[in-house]
Amino acid sequence: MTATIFKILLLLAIFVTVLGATYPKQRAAIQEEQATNYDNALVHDSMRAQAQYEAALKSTTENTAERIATGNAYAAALTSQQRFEEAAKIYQDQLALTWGLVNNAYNEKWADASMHLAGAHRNLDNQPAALVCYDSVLKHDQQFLPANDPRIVRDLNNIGLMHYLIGMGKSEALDRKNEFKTSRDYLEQALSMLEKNNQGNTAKASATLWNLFLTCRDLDDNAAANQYRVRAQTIDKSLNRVCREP
Amino acid sequence: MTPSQSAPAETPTPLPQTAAVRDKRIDKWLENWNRFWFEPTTPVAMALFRIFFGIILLENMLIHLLPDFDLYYGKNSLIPINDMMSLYWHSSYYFDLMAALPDNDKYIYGLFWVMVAATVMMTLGLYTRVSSWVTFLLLMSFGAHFQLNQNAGDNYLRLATMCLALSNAGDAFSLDNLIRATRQDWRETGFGARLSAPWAQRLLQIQICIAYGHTWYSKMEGKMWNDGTAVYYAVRYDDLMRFPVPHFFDQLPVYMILTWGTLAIEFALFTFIWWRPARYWVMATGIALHLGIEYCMNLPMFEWSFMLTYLLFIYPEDLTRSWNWVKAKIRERFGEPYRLAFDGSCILCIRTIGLIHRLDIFGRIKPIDFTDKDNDAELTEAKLDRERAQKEILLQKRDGDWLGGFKAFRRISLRTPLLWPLAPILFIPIVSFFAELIYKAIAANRKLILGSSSKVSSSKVSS
Repeated sequence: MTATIFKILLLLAIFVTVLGATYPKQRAAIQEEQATNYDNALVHDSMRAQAQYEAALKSTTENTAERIATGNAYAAALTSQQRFEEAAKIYQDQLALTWGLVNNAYNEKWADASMHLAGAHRNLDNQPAALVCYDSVLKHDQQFLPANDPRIVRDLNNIGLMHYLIGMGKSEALDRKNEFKTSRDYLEQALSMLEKNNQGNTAKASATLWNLFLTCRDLDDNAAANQYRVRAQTIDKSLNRVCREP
Repeated sequence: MTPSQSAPAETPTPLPQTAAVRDKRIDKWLENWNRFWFEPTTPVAMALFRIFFGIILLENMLIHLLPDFDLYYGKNSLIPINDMMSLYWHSSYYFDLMAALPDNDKYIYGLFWVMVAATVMMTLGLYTRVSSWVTFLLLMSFGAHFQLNQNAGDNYLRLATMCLALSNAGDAFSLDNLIRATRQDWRETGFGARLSAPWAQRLLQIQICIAYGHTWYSKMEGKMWNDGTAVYYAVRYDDLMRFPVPHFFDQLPVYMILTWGTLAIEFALFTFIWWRPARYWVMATGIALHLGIEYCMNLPMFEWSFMLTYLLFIYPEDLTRSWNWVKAKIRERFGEPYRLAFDGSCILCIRTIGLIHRLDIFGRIKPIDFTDKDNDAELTEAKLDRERAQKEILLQKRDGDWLGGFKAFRRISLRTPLLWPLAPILFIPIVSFFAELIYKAIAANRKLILGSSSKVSSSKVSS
């Protein structure tokens, strides 16, 4: 009987010792995981950004710059959490906030807000809404920036891409082709501007060329598509970039 | 009520009698309960289970775990222990010896080989109790350290090892038993295994019934198990598929029979298995079911560990009968056992004979005490040279001649399968030369080593 009790106590002692030695490690691992967990970090970031944004909104002093900065930070945090609709709402507010900041001149903050909003709509797979944003930015840029400004190239490329994506979503062949044709027009304008600005061999040109390749390919203009592809590959090779055909 | 009938108030109250009957029933129930769990039983079934189960454990460790050891348990494993603790353990407590040690692969490797060594010892029955507990604790540790390579089979291995550690599985077919036997006089203790309460064996029996009950109940809730098509899908489950089912089986009625047959067999395996007349039939269908699954599905160890557990359901008397049948068949095939004449007045000789007899599982050696007068007639007929027998142990060959001393031992090693690994060594000239010398030295002084025998008769050597 004594031997049995001793054996049971020995077994208990082994269990207690091992569990006792493991427990602090287990606690530390759980705490570390909670501190470094990516999802948790995103939640913490967005909560912090939200608090700062709401504090800036509630503030009675004139603090437009702070509202824009905190709003952008909060919307970016929401985007990281894939909460795109909430992010779009904030960018929408940013649009109203920045509109009229500059009279009869280039309004960079408004253009940025529009670009962000377009990005949010793209994340929401709402290309027509994104297209409206990019269009309005293009008009604004063309009105106030020099004709060869790289930002206009950016806008043309974005609009070209939007038309291509909208075309991809059309069920009728004719509708699709019309969108692709519009896309091609914008993209070729962008490429032409890049070449005029001596940027025909840059990464930006390569991106536009790849977009053109897709558009021409889907327009069944294989000759043009191959030509754009070869040019894009040549630029990528010269830049040591590994780009695979989409 | 007619006048002849008694009024209820006049009838003697039946309560005390009912209470007595109830008490009797409770007593009977308690008696059955105690008999089921605690009536001393031979540990042979549990010992056989220990040996085969140990082999399955070793296969699991060396064939399934070792090749991917670093992937599971190394410092750069798929899920390092800190992530395992935070993402899988959460706030639960797990027994993990490796986690309690410093964070270094050498400890994990070391403990793995300790586990392998403990399992080998458990299988051989060496320090069975301790080695089973070490195996169990380390199986738990490795299970907790990386939980993603565990399935129901691993859970069952752990539970079964725990039951082995709680049982007296080392009291038969074990080195422990052999070592203990060298310290005992078999003329007083006999050769039978020490009887003990079988509660650990019963736990394992009940455990497997719970497993079958649970799986049966879960299947009964499934639509495909009810409409008879489940087996069709089960045997086509890509992740676990082994061999395809032959095409001519691909008929709905066949799958209905297989599906509902599985349900029927699993139901029987936790109910009718306890009914003695049905037990072996139920076990046979269970084996057919598991072999069928083994053919179609690759579930390492799972089927074999379940089938092995059926050993525990074999009644001890049937085990004895089966083994006697095997021995009879061997005797029929290879002839009568070889006579081994020994000196019953020498304790060393008696213990050595006891050891040989335990190792001689097929009964190929028949020890005869030449000092016992009851054996005179048989030994005279066998033309035993008694003077020579006083000097050395003698084994009679088929041609009637007697081999003596070391050569007799060497011949015994050929006749006893458990000694076969030793036999080639005994034929190495240098080994046999020295062994001969050692034998002669021991034989000459045998009565000085452990003394002379007590008066217990050794004429009957029974198993």
